[in-house]
Amino acid sequence: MNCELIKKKIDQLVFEKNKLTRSEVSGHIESCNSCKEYYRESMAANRIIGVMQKEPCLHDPAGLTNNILTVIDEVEQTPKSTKINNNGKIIRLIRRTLAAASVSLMIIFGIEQYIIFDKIIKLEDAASNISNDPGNISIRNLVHFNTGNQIEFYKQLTTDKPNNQNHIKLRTRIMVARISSITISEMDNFRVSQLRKAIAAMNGN
Amino acid sequence: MQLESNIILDKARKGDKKAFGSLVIQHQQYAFNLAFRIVCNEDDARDVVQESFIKIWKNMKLYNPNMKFTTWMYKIVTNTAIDQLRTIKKAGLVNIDDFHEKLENIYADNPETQLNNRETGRLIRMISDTLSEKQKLVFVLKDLQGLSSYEVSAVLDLPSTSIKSNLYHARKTIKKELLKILSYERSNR
Repeated sequence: MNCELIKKKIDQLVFEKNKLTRSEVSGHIESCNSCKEYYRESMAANRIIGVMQKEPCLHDPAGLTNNILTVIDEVEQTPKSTKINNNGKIIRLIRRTLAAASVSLMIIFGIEQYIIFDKIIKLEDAASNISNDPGNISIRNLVHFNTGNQIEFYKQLTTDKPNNQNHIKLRTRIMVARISSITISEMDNFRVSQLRKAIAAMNGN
Repeated sequence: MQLESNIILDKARKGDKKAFGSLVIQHQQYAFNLAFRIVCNEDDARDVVQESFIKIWKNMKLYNPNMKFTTWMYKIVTNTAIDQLRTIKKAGLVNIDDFHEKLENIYADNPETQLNNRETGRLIRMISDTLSEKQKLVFVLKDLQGLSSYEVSAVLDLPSTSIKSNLYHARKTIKKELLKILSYERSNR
């Protein structure tokens, strides 16, 4: 028979007191020196384990009981710091709420900004296509007016391929250019109307 | 007896300190045995028992009556003892020179030989230092405390296959270690 299997059975016999394996083991170890030695060593180890199984002596058990109950009394008498715990909970709740709110705002404004930019560009591009008059106040003309040689980039923007980093940067620059141009234009209109009023006043006079 | 224990347990769960005192008296020796076999030192074992019973008192409301109280207690004691063991720095090799003769006698099947607490602690430490933490716990709970495989599995949250393999390797290592100790002692005489 396989010696490895017999060794497992020896373990069962010696350590787990499984007597069902006794006859099988004793039959084998009569003729196998290796397993006989294994059995002898297992028995000796079991004797030493048996000594270790002896219950250790607990000195002064009453003293130990008293110590335990005294410490429990002390623990019970210590006031619980529920206020600190509650404050901690509130602070944690506020932190989490603020974090959630800031993330939500970032998402909402980020998307909104992108949508607005996109719509304005498309709208103004469409407007510029309606008229070929170079004097109309379309974004194409304004950009040309404000950014000069950036017009090529602007053309790229209108091709509906918003996939590069420059796209967003250039859109921002276009928006700034547009706002400044409108402001200048409005100021000019205001000056012209003021001038007209002055001329009318002079003519009237 | 069982009914009486259940009544005490029930009262202790409701915060009756007197009932809890009875529970401590009833179980502290078992808790001490386990703690001693893990930390291998009487003073440390007493500390572990004390700390464990305080944890038990604090968590008494969480005790699930479907589980045996002793299993739950063993779980807490084992965890506390392991924590304690990790904080104790290993004080180098254990010397068993002063009781090697006793050990030889035990090995040679002399039934009258007995070891005291200190010697037993040193012997367990010397043998279990060569085991992994899991192997040591399985060996202590199964072979020294005499728990069933099912209980060991519940205490350590390990499957029974893992218990079997850890125990097999632990016993193998212990046998090897004992042989090494005894042959070393013989060669030094």
